[in-house]
Amino acid sequence: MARPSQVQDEELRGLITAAREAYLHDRNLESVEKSVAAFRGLLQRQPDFLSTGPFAGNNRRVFPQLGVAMKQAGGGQPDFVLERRQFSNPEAITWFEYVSDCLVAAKL
Amino acid sequence: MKFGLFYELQLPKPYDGDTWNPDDERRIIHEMLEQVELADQLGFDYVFEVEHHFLEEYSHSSAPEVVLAAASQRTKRIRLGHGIVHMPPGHNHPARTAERVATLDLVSNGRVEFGTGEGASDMELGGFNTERGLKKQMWEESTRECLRMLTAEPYAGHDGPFLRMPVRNVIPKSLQKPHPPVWVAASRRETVMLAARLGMGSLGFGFETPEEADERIERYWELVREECRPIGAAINPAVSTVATMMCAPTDEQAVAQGLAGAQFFSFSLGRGTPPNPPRNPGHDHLYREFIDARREKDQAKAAARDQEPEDEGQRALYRAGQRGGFIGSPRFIRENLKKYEAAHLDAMIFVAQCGDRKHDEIMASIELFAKEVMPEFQERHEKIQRPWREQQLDGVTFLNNSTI
Repeated sequence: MARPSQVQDEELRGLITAAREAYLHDRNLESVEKSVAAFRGLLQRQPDFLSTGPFAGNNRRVFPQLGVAMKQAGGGQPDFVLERRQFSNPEAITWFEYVSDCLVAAKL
Repeated sequence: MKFGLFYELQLPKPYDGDTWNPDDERRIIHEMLEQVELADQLGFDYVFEVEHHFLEEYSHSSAPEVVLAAASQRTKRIRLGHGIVHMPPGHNHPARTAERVATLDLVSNGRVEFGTGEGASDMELGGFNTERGLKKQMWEESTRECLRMLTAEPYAGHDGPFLRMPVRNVIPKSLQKPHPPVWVAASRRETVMLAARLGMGSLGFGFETPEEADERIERYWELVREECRPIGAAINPAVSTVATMMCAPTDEQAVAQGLAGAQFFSFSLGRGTPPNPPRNPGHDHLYREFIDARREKDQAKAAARDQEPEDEGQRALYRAGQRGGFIGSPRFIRENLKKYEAAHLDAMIFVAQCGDRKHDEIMASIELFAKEVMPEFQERHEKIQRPWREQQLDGVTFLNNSTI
């Protein structure tokens, strides 16, 4: 499983590292926000990651349905909307793990 | 490596009938009990039984505590695992779960493994009006409070988003102290890592390859050392995975006896999940759909046989890839198990009963595996895996009640 130190992109590494710090201190909403920001950054750099990237078509690597909705914004790029303001620590960890794996798989 | 059996209580409808025969549900439960009794005598370490609701043909195991209690009276040593209890309170109130887990632990003289989970299918979540996006929160709250109910005298009560309960002493208490070893169902990779952080065993349902297992296991143990904040009063550091198994004297016999059942397992698991059509309660006939689809594929496969690799070794790998790693001769199964053993997997839990597999063939498979494959792995577990696990826990001071 991916570690923040494996993320080469400085901005994205900063975001995912901040996500980890946040969940370690039970700042779960902040952690989810940082993870989602990192994922948004991934898609800005690799717009086709979800459709043709390494996890495309893998039903064990689907976008977690945990309080964050993926919506199509103008220009075809999806955007992410937090559906609630309260997240549990396991949910924050799940988001962190999913986004970390995606960043490393994307070789960012 | 330790070994277990995993039960869904799959019950395909007869191909030519619209519903099951009158005795089918009674039969499948009693066949399971015979298989578990044999497995206990032969030295299997675990049996895990699922909890599923409304999933016709895929699983008729909606009250595992009853079947596991029956199994407890026919066995002496085998651990009796919930694989898993649905923890959202609309499915099982955590106090009722604590009561049933503790009672099963008393009835079985302290052999319960407490597997927990969120529930997954739309049929089940919808049937109990559980919102999918909130089930992980519900799972965590209910599991944490259930473990407190198992240990506290009295339980202090709780006022949370999904559970409100006043002070009560939840009784009886389990024989195992502070509580039975606790697991979480891990279909997603993220949940394996969550299990490590919460001090829970990872009951893997992702049918991981050896390479996937290797990657997860290394990181799992790092997280146990670095970030563990136990959800209960003891940790159960353990990583297991599930695979379908049929062991027979030859690969060909194993495939003839076991492949269709494994394929039905996958087929029926996916049914009701997009892009597959939704279920139609009381009206589906999954087995007929499966057989009809298989007939079409077999015709296509026969035409494609010319495309198999010519090299014998490559052809064997190609065919093995079509059937998974544990449907074969003892030799075939042994070689594939060694890859998981090298990755330091703690336990392999086998789906032996699935689809239309025959009871006597399942019994023979369990016996052949236990006699010709299992012993060397269990021996190396004591000599190699156990010391390795102790090394992984260097610096970890939480109470550890794992039975691995």
